[in-house]
Amino acid sequence: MTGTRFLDPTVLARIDNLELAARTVVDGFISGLHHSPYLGVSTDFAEHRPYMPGDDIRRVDWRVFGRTDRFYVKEFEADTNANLLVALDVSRSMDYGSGALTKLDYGRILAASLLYLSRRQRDRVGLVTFDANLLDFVPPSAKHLELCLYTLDRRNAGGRGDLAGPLEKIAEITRRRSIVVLVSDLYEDPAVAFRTLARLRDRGHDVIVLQVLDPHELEFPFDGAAPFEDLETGERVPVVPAKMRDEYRALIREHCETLARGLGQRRVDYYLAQTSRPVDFALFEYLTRREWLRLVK
Amino acid sequence: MSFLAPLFLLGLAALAIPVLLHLTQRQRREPVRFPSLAFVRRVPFRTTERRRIRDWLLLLLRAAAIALLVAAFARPFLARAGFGAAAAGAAREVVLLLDRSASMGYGERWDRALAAARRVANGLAPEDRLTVVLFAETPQAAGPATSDAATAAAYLAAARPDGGVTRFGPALELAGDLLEQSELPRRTVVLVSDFQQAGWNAAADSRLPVGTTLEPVSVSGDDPQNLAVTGVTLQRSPDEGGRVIVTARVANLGTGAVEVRARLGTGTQTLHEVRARVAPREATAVRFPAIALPAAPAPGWVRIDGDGLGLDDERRFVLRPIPRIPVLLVEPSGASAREVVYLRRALSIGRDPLIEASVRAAPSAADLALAAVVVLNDAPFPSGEAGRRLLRFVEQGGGLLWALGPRAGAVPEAVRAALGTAARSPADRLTDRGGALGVADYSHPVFAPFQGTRGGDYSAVSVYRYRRLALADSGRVLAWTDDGGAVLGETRYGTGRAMLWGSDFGNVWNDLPLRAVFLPTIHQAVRYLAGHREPAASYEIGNALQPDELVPGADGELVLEAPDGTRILIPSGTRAPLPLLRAGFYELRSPRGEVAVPIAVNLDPAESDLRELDRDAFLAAVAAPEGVTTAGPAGVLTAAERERRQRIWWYLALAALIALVAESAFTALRPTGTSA
Repeated sequence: MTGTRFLDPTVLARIDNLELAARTVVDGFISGLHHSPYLGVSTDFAEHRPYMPGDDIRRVDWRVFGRTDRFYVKEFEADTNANLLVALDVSRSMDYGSGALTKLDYGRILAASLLYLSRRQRDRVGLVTFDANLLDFVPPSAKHLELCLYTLDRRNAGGRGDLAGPLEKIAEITRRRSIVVLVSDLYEDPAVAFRTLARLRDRGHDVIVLQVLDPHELEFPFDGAAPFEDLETGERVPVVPAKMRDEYRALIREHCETLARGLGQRRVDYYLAQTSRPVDFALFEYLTRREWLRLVK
Repeated sequence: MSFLAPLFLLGLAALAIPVLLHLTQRQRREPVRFPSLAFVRRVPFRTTERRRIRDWLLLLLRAAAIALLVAAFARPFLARAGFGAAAAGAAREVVLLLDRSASMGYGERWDRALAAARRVANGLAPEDRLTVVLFAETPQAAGPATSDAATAAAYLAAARPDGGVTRFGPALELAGDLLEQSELPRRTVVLVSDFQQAGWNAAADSRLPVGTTLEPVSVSGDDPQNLAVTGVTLQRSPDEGGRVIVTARVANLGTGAVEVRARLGTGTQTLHEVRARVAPREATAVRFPAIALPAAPAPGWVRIDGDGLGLDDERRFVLRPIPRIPVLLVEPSGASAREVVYLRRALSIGRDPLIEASVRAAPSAADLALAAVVVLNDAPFPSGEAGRRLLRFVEQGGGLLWALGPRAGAVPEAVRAALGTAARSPADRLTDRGGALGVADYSHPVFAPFQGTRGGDYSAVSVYRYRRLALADSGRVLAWTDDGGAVLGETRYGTGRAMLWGSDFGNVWNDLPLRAVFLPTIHQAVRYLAGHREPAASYEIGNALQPDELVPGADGELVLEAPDGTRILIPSGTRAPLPLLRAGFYELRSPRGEVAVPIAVNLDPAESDLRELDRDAFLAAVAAPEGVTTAGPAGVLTAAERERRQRIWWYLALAALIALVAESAFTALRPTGTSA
């Protein structure tokens, strides 16, 4: 099985229709239009050529010299392409869905779409999955799309989730400035999220947060008293939805607004994706807004 | 309605099952898996909602089904004939015994009793016949037997509780008489009462006729509380022109301690107020400061604050001045002071009544005119005119006590003829250390106070010498010596009385003056001979009034005015006892008002005790042994009737089945609700 099954042709077709606009708007998504945050040398090997005077001797391939006793210089491709690292939250809370797709499924498709789109723009793509720990790490590379898609496909929901620890590790292992896309339901203290995401931002990464929530998490449409079980902790709480619906809605709305406001202040892009909406629509909406933001800037 | 298998009613506890099902239904559902309860936990938790019952109709259907099944298994039956009797087609003779004693005025008892009585009247079938009998101390039919509910209702509307005492015996006997005269096939007695404990005498043999159904209807309610003034004691003294100390007995017949405010008054004036605390089921004596005695009989009262039963919150009495008994004491000349001191001292001690003794050597006409009693203390009977005056004195109602001691001499012939009494020569008992004294008749007013086993010991009196009395047939021997000689006798002469003591009061021929019985015996004798009888300070409802006791010697017609203003004319020459039926002050007076005597009438204290009798024992006593059936708590007349009254369980079972079917249908059709 490969990860290509996630690439819904309809979704990709819709995205394709946006390709021209996206290429000019989305920084780092569209190859050739964005400014690489790490100007200079790419690490993706393309070919060897004979050494010419003036070439940097650091680019001489000494292994080839040892075998052939001649000087060859490594050629690398696409110096202007960026790294795209998708960090997908696979904690247990993502394994929830009131409709056809769980949040994890939705996040997979969303991540795959972004990876595929980026790869088409010749960006290097990488993937991180995490719950409270890093579970999978596919470093960004021009050749890692298949691996990323495969990793996405096989990854099931993990255990309890945590944002701070995995993001700090991502910050440690991602030395090259990248576009980091966090796909998560963000059941986290906003202050913690702000702190860890700001740390990524401070290291020069362009951070994008896609919060994935199910409509039931936003609307809380349940009726009838029942015990509610926390997917991550297993804790059960007797709940009377009719009595607490309004207060719950207010709380989750405030949480999302806090995230949007706080992340905006820290120059972190934020988008709330509801699993009830088509993935392509979410991408379209996000990219459209990002274009508008760029124009404003 | 009662149940044949009441233990099945414990099954009613199963009613909790559907309620619990409804309340806990949500808890038993599969938990709703949710990504995070972080925000759920931040919402204040409301437990009340969890316990709110939803689907009321479903709950009611389930509960009704269970209750109906339990009731059906408990085998209910109708205690009263009701529609069952009508269905039976057999006419009933119903006697409704409605208690109208004073205790029925407590709280809402009378209203409940009337309501119960009206239900009986309204439940009559056309062929039934009802006799309404109102009873307290005595039963009285309110009217002829009737089949008309309206007529019976009219009887009941006219009924009121009176101040009488509850007596079940006479009422049941009257009901039995009425039923025995009936030709109707079925007989029922409905007893509507508070079933006061004091109203039933277990020793009384009051049984209803065989085949009678007794339906007791209790209206007593729970835990009655009552305070009552159950008695008043008047302690008079002649000091300061006559004073009296009133002591009232206040009983707390309830179950909680009570602070009581008691007031003493005369007429409309309150004289003193005393507060006291009375423990539950106990009584306390409330003593008021002394008040002056009136010169003529006057009404007085002790009141406490009103409670549920107002009739016993006041105790009425009549204050009278201390009566005086003038005694003429005749002593022989030459008697030593040691010989006369005992009787003098005895006569000087009396305070209520006040005995006023005058010592004379011989009774003069003036002395006799003032005296009520003449005592010849070892003095010879006066001779000549003085003797005749003394006999006339006795003949006209005076009293004579003659001690035939050493100096008394022989009984004159005239006296012997008049009094029918002779005294023999002194008999000497010195050789055997004296003879013992024996009282012949303790029921005599003089000796009545000594009737009890510790009332006085006359056998300890040693009689060394005495004159044996010989009495005519009209005479009466009151005391003997142990050798069979009459030593104390009484005889009547005219309207007066004479008592002869065949010895002395000087501690010479006997040692009676040294015995404890001496003083009370002399006082009793003086009272008796003077004809002293003081009217009661108060009467109780139901007592009979003897007008002669209050107005002795009044020959003309008298009027007795009741507290409610009604008047009874007592014709001249007619002195039959009159019943006192109302609490309050009566007045007995002559038409012109020359004589006016207040009469205090109170509620019988027994009626103040509102405790209920042992109903089972009562019913058993009334029903046993020949098969009176008691309905209400248990039992019915015949097997057919019993079966008819038990048939209700069929309907209950059918109703339970319908409820279960409806519950199933409702459960199947009702929407299941959203997803949580």
